[in-house]
Amino acid sequence: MKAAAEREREAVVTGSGVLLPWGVGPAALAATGAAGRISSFNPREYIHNAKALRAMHRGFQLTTAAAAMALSAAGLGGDAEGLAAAGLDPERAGVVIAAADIQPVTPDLLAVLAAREDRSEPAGWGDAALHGLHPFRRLHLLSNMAAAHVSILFNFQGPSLTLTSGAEAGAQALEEAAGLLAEGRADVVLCAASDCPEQTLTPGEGEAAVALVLEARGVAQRRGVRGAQDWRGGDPGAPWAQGWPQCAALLAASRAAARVEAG
Amino acid sequence: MTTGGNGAGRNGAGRRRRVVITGLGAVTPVGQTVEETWRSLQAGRCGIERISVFDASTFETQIGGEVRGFRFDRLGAPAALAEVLDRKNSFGFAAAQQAMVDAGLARADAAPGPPSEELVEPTRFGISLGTEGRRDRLLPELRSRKLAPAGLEARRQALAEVPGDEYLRYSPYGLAYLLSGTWGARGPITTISTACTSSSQALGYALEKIRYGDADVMLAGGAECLMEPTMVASFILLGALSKRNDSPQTASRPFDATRDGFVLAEGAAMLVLEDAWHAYRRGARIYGEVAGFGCSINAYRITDSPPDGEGPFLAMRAALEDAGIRAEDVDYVNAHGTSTVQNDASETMAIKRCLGGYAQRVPVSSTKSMTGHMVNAAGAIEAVISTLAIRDGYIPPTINYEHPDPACDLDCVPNTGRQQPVRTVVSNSFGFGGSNGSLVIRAYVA
Repeated sequence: MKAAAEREREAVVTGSGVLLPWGVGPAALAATGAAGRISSFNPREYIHNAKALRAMHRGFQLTTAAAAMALSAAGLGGDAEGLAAAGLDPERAGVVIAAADIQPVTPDLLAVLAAREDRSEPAGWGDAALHGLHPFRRLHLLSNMAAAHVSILFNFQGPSLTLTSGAEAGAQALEEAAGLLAEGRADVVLCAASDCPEQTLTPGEGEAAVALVLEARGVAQRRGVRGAQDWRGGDPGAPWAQGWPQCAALLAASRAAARVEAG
Repeated sequence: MTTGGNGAGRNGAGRRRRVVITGLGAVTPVGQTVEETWRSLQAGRCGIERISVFDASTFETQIGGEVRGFRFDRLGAPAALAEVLDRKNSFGFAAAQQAMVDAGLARADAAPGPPSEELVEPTRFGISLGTEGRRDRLLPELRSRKLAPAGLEARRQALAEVPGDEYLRYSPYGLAYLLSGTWGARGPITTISTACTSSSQALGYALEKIRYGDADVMLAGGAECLMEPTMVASFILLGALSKRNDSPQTASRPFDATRDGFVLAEGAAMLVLEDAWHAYRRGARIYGEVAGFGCSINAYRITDSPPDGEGPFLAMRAALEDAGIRAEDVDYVNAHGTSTVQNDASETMAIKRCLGGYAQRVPVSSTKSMTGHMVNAAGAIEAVISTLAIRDGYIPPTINYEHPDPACDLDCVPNTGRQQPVRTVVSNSFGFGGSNGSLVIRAYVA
């Protein structure tokens, strides 16, 4: 039998956000559909800061949108005041992200290269690059930008980690989020991932984004959360999850928390 | 998947194992081994020069910290590897080999390969790296494919055809898998990408894995290569780099009032971290202990440092708490100290808030004044340097310090290092996106 203190620090899910090609929200988890782009995605529905949006490429937008949905579902949502309004300490609010690799061959870079006779020779390239490249190019390529935007938009100031371990990253992110709660370094952790292939999709490939709000059981109880769920036992190796290597583990956890039957 | 999984061992119910450092490896702009690097730092030698790996003459910033004359073929690695590894991963491979030999887990005169299972059980041996995806291969890639001057779509298509194994090599996690395969590590394997804080966090992650019983030995560190035109250009666009092209050796000047940005550098650093009892049983030399780690995120702005030092302060405070030490225990702070106007002032605030009145009495130096900023590898090389400071009782200087800045009024060990006992070091790393990490490294007392 577990000690009471240990049980208090155990991670439970208090909210989740899901974007899949055929729909958003909990209903989409139970449904099935064809892999592909999330064609209906309008980032402005979720992210109200226009300047922040400009600095994000699509993968970060998807992750941040899923985070916004999950936080709303957990009653922590909306804006930078959400945590404090629910009585949670921003300094004890963590962000753990499983991030996909980012394709550095962006349209602005291609345009710079295409405009030059010798294309790839850097000699004399400095001026052209400076005029042609996106001023935020460096930021578009940084894996920890999803964490940065979540942190700024929702005032998360606690422990943070961005994992880029490929297909392992999602499971490792969940483990780390639960570990931060168990260890008492955080009371709430936003854990999120997205898949956003930039090249032409191959069959079975697609976009997805998923976020979970994990809280220490005792913290969730004290702020009166009803319906906090256990999230273990999902199967990230299930056939339905195969198109989304980054999201598979978090989607499986979301389904387990939402009690979606295996399918 | 790791054993123990889901953070189960972290709830205080189990014993926290102590984690020691038993091996070091480094390839830097001031030396291609740990000892060569350390001698350079003691001599106050700077590794920053005009960029030579590509023609940077039309760039606003033309200087960087390069690893010059690096010879991968001397490492005894399979020749095929030399063909396919980019600079970043070559540095990482070399630093890992040094660390494994230094830890007594490999022989210097043998080709790299798994240690015997008596030394370390493969499933209890993991890898934790801080790095990013492919960089310096981008333009050669375009070149070698002799792309026609056709439209964007044709180029995009050509790049989409990069074969799978090549993709693996230049993905963020390619190096971790390469090292895992080379050294037979089958425990926790992870890669962390949090800009300038990546490898500090990789060490923090390795600390956790050993502390809570998921691994006995972790090879942990970072690798970096930013000497590539598109990357240099993208940093210039952010206004982050020093423009002192006429004086490369004095361009990186942390805490000096005339600092004007950081200087990009390349290289790698790796450490072997080990359960203290495991190290003791196999008779390994113990350099010191990784006693604590803390991290935070700024919730401020994407590239600006918070003027009040809030996020960095939270990371430092968490690290001290984790190590169970007080401000007065800290003998030396190896600063993030990038030489940007904002970082150095913000970090000074953070150190003052964390150490209180004691901050004025603690030496705080930035070795980036000599190495330049190794970005993803910065946390790891500075952990190596912090470990050597303890070993030799020596605090390396901040060179190029000429003009005091009231916003940076701590003892930055100006221009000359100091021989004095060092038992406890705090090593800071703060990155774009507001990711902060602090490590506490201590002399090991059984």
